[in-house]
Amino acid sequence: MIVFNRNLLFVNEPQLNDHLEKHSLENIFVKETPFCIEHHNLTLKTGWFPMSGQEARYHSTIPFHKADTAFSWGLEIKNVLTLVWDAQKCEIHYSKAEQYAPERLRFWVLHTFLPLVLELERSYRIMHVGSVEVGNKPILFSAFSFGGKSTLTDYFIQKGHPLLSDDSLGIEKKGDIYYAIPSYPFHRPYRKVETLGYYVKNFSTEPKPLHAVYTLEKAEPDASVSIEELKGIEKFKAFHYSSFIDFDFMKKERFEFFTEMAKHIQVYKVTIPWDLKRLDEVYRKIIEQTT
Amino acid sequence: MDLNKKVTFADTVFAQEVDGEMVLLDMNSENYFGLDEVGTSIWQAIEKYEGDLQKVLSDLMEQYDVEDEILKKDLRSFVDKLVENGLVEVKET
Repeated sequence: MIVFNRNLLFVNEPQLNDHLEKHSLENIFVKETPFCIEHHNLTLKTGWFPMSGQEARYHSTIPFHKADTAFSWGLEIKNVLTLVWDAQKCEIHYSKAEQYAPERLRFWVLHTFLPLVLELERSYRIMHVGSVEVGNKPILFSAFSFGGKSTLTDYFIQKGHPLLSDDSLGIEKKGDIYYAIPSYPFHRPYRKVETLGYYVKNFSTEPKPLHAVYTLEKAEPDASVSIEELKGIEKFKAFHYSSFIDFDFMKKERFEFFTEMAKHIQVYKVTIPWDLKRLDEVYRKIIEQTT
Repeated sequence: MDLNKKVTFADTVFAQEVDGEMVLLDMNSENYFGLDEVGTSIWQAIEKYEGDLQKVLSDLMEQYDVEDEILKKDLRSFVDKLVENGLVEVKET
């Protein structure tokens, strides 16, 4: 499976793979390793905290704020499984717990663990956005929870646009160009925790320069659809409130990254009448703006 | 605000310019602030002159065609707001 521009392979659960791969990409193997916390000697751990409807905690050898690219660490989902990033081998190891299921493994790896790995290693900045391609150009949808990201992403998929992300997207900066790194080929247009949703065949696997960000604002059902370009701090807000990760020690570098990105990417506010029957108007307005 | 004093930026405040506006993020409160064009000029002058408010005032007088007393009043008011929001600290020179 191609995820975040890498070949990901579930070694012990082959039914989870979709058998798509590109030889030019780095491989990440996901392997069952009994007692993986002890195996990697991760002696530090945090307290339990809520995550996607479960309780979770981190394990590590050193405090997170001292993380560098050779940093092995783990995420334990209570009674479900434990995941460890083996930084030396670039592999994901997991141990099963009582309530383990293969689909739950896939969810936690794709939705949560791999994005965290990539952000902590500073490979990409991860944003909590929906993303599709319009005319070969990635666009992002940014909004607060229940703000319409998934509904709009779903509509674009139904109209035949390739999916890049339903939930988390990688951003890679090369010079002044910001590349959108497609996440994984699943889409969940409904509210249910700990599930990835439907497999999407029309998934774009190739990083491309990010074209624009559309930040969604709900309006009354009879409001008109409008698109307004944002400047300055309003632009920055679209990125700041689309954070995937919330570690204190990364706040300064994320602030610097996204303020710099705001200087190079067009950001628009889309006023969306809260009426599903008018979704096509919103779609056409965004298409017109993008092409 | 006595313009003979010096101001320093709080350690917990990050600042970057975006489209001519200063974006500030206060890590303590998690609040962010946007400064308009004039606010941005004042912030940048504070940076340039290491918080010396007399030098900031002189710089602004060169930039803006405004009566001295109005500019002093605006600068005092702006710095007071920065202090109120924990974005700068005031020291004796």
